[in-house]
Amino acid sequence: MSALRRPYSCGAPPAPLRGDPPAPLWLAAAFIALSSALAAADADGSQTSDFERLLALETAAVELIETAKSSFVFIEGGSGFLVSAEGHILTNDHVVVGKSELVVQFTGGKSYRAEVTGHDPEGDVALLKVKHSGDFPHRDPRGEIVKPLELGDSDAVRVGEQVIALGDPFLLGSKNLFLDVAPPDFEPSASLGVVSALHRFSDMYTDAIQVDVAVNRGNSGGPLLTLEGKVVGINGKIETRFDIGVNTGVGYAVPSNQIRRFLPLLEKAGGKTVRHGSIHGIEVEERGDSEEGLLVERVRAGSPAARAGLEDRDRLLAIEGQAVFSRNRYLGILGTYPAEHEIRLRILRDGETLEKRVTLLEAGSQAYVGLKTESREAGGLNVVEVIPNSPAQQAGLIAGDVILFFEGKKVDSPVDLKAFIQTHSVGDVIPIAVLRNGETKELKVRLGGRND
Amino acid sequence: MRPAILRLLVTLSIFAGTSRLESQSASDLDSLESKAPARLKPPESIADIIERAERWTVAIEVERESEGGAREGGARRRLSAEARTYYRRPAGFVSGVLTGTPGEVITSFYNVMGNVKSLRVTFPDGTTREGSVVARSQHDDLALIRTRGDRAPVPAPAPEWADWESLRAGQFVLAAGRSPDPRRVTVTKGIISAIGRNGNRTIQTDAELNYGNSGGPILDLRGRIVAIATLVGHTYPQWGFNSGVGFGVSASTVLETLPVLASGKNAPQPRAPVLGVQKDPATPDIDGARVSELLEGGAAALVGIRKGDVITELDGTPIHSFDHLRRLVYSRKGGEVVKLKVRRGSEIIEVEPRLQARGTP
Repeated sequence: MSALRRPYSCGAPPAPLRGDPPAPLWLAAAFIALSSALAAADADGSQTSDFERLLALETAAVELIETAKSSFVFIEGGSGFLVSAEGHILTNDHVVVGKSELVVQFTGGKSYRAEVTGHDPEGDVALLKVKHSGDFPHRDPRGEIVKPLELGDSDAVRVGEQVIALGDPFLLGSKNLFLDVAPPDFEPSASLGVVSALHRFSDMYTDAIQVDVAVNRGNSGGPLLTLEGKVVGINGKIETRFDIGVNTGVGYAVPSNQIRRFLPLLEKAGGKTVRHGSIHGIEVEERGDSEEGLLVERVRAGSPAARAGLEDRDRLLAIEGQAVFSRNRYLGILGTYPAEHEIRLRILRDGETLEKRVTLLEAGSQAYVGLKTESREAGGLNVVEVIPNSPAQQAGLIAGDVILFFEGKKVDSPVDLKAFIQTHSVGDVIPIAVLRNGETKELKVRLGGRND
Repeated sequence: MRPAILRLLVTLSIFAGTSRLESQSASDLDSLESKAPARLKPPESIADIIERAERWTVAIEVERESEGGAREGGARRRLSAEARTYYRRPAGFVSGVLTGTPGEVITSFYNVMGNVKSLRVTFPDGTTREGSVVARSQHDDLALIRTRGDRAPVPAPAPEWADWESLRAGQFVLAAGRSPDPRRVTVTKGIISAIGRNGNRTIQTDAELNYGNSGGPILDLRGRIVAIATLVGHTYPQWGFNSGVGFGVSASTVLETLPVLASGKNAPQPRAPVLGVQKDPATPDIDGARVSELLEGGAAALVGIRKGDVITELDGTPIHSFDHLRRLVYSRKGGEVVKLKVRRGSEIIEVEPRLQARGTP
């Protein structure tokens, strides 16, 4: 268990950031230190003062910003960044909501048309692609081809680690609040801070990186960079007070590992929406904060969860190696996976640890059976019509059947049927007791999705 | 975790020791009094930088006639957002920076706006002198204060200023102010977020800047002043909330403005160069700047540029957007002639308009 919980430990031991001299992570966090008094011996035994380390850290930050800003784009009121040599641009979905085509401007102001290849509104991520017109790949002012930013490993980020945000707060770079005087300079704003916490659950941001980096309106969609220049998140949300909407030192970023799982889907979505996944057919405890995992209160018979081998009273220890200790964490981890993704679960049952695999299905999708029914005086439902190719037809139901029980429960009206189906999920297998020609038959219907 | 805490404690205890250095550094000031001071030794610690900030930063107490006069009361509701922000700011000390000339202090114009009754400057050695505003630059939010008094002028070490060309986004900075306590500086840290705001006259920083910082220095790790904290942009109500987006008038702007102010003249409003064309808001610029409106009698109209033309080059530089064109024009001066390439349908036309200065009669 302790290994699983490692991401939550808050000790950030000094570690080299880039080459030599090593710059401890806490250094600029303790920027105000009277550094001359604190000379520390490096691994090679040489004495490097904290101030020299601070200067080295500054050099790293300056070079990083200089390089990374070329890949930054201004997107009609928000921010974004280049992630592929073909011209893919990542941003927050709320920056491009309701749009399929827009204009993006690189640092320096060069404009391109771009189309949205995919929306992920649940994860607040969208992917754009520059429309080629002969002048792409984009070149920086020195004439060098701008390289895409690389996504880093957001699970390797440590609390206390220094991070840099690039963005366009208050649209200072693209609109310029001094508009009556000078034209906008199309330079992004950089801000430096530390990772305050990992795996924060804040509404849609189910597994967010929390930072104290200054992030404001207009930063949305911009990259959160480690000092090695890797993108570990997209800055998209802040905690704010009094509806003022300015930074309070609490910002949230969508983690890069979540983004990476959605990227191929966003690329092929054809401008449409990609869906997050969830485990259908499982009820977990509301509250729970236990080293022994999260209690599975009920597994619905025939559901995907049941088919994956989960049982009532199992304790869910981990999803893909990440500890599950609360309902928020359970939903938090699942929120980082797309539908149709297969995940590994570690469960505890009768003192034994077991591995199970389950394929996630669309979160919140409406289950569908494909029946038109009417109430019957003697109880049960008359099947009036069976929709062709529906789950009901595939289960063998025909018009004229009388449905007595769904999953052993009496259903006496079309409204009750609707309510019953809505408590189930796509993929659930439901046993139905049917009266046909005076005989009782057992059929099994596998619920489909509305769009199937 | 434990070593980190220990380090922090060590750090804090040493930091607490700085205030005791004060009397010592005050006596050092005498050696720096001459007008052409020997260059200070480069800082070797944050403490060295703070010591510089202490030498160069003054506290200013401004007393005004009744704030806002007749505007107080019911009429206040009709004030602009800018004026409301101004009247809402907290009372107390603000900051200023020595210029190197004894008795002279440069500060933010915002600090001395309004009906000023009296100004008192508290110098780094604790001396307090009455002063008055010599001249101001409203555009760059700067004001020069000169103190009065028949006693010998207080020591005035000249600060080191960073030239704008050497600045880069990401540089670490410390902002210092002598507020709320004029005897001790308050220091906050951050980085330079962007260097070229307001037509390369203002830098942006994520260091915490509050009202008392206004007029105070922002220093880099070389101990040079890179900017004077400013309330330029305070029309944004957000500014008052310290959003991590703060501004400083860059040292180059200060040095350029100082001689004008020292001569007793207010700096003139810059007269931005004008080409006299307007952007087409409906069509995004992809390659070139599409003209949707022309200023009658403007530079562009005089050389025959028409609605619908696309300006593609200025003095050989390909123009990729209207904002790009604006930036290129802005970097020139009124009265200069520029060469433009203009696309009109399938034709390419070359014209040479003479830029006008904003406000030209």
